[in-house]
Amino acid sequence: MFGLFTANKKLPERSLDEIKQICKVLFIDDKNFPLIEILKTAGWVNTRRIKDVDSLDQSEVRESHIMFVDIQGVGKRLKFHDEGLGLIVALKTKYPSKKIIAYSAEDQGQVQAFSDGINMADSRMSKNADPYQFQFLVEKFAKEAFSLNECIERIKQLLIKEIGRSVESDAILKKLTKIATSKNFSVDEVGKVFNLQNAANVSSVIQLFLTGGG
Amino acid sequence: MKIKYYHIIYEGKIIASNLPESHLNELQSCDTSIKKCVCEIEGSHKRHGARKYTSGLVYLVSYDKNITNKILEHYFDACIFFIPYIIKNKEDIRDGEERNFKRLRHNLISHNANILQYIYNLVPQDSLVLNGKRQTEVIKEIVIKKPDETSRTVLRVLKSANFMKSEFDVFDMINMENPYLEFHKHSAHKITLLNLTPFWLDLIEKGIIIEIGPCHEHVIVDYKSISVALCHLFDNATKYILPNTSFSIYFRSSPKEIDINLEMTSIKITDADIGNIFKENYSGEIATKIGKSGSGLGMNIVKKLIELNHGEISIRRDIDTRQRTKSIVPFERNLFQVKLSK
Repeated sequence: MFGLFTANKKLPERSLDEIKQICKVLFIDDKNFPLIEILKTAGWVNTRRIKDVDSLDQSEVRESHIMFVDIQGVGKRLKFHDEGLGLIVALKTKYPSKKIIAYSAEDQGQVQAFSDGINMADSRMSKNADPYQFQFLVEKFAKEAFSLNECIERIKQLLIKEIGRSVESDAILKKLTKIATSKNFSVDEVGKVFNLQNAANVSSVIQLFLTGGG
Repeated sequence: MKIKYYHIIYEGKIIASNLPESHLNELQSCDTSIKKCVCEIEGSHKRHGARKYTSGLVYLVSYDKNITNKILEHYFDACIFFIPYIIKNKEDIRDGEERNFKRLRHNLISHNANILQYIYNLVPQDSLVLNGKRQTEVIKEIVIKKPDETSRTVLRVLKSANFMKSEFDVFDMINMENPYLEFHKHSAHKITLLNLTPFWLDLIEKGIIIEIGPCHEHVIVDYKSISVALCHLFDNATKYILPNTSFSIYFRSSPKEIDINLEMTSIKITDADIGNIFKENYSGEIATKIGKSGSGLGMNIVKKLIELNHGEISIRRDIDTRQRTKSIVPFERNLFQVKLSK
């Protein structure tokens, strides 16, 4: 579970190459696009596609960190009446810390009409977009999850929301190291270490960063 | 509720109605005067009437005890008064949409035709038809025999495909009140280069010396919309630039902004131009004279897109009078500046 790195006293900063090895990108699309190969060639080796989702617990879904969901043509096996958008709502509700991108060949004007699903997505892309745009987004979300500096930044923002003030990055790093060493990132432990009433979000971020899971 | 049911006919078509089917007979048997009676369907008193007007008929039904014939007459008057305006509004919207759609269709057909023709120019259509089994062999032979032309073809196809992408992006954005935008930090240098790339070949073939200055900073933009704007500026540059001159792209940084500067020797921007260049459907004077105007989006949309990104565009013309040409078509050194937030 902690195979991603050993419990050193100092948490290493992961390089983009290392992040590309860890990060799992999943495309849920009934059509195959060369983009998936483009991402793999660019180093995102754990990129794959499934045509639709049979179960929200299936391993490809559970293990992925970033999901691109086509808003048309998927979500049928689970019988969502607004297809991909319904699937996005279900995925985001079940896995709030996974990044989900709604992507489509749909006219954006029409998509706005289906507001729920589209607003829950972390981002939207047109299928027409450049490889640069896809890679930019994958890199951004992957760094948020797995880069040490970004993780600290995320925790900082969550702490501002929870306790109303900013905590020094060094202090966060010390606490994060403590949790990594103890290998306990449960909500209770995180709550103790960070002195938080509601530590669920911070625990989630830490779990993702340390284990690549959750 | 004063008016419970309405039924409006305009030029033979029902344009607005909430009249249940059960009441249709009432309409048939109603003449133009307002009648007060007991409604057999709903069991209470009602006033109803059908008023004809030049383009059709309005039928109104009220169950309101407080309404009088006179008041109902006013409702008829108001209805009939507003109908032509509502129809005109609907038609204007529809015409606007049709215009946009026609433009999109026209441009996509042009770009797609270019793509097909670039490829068929390199790979004759018949050679693929007659050699069904050996298609990949046919292409390999052409690549080996004509490597330069093959390279140029690939680049031209990319350029046209990129234009098609731009068309779709713009169509979505101009048809919406609040287009969807996603702001991220992008490298100013990178987004400039990414959008210059499709035009590089054309510029090189015109003998343009492209100079790009450094920039290590980021701007906060919506990539999709700023790309369309930059693309259009580069497309214009390619069309209107003087061959064998330099195209200098450099960046200037200030505390809150980055300026992307596009400096080139291009067709003269006249006094009339400078006042009107950002107006809808305006084409530059010299561009019109040389017959190269009007195939693009318009600087009007470029300005809108840049402003959507909280940026600014400005033009400084004739910045180096020594570089004015004495040719029939006048060229001057011009600077296009795009300011974006950090």
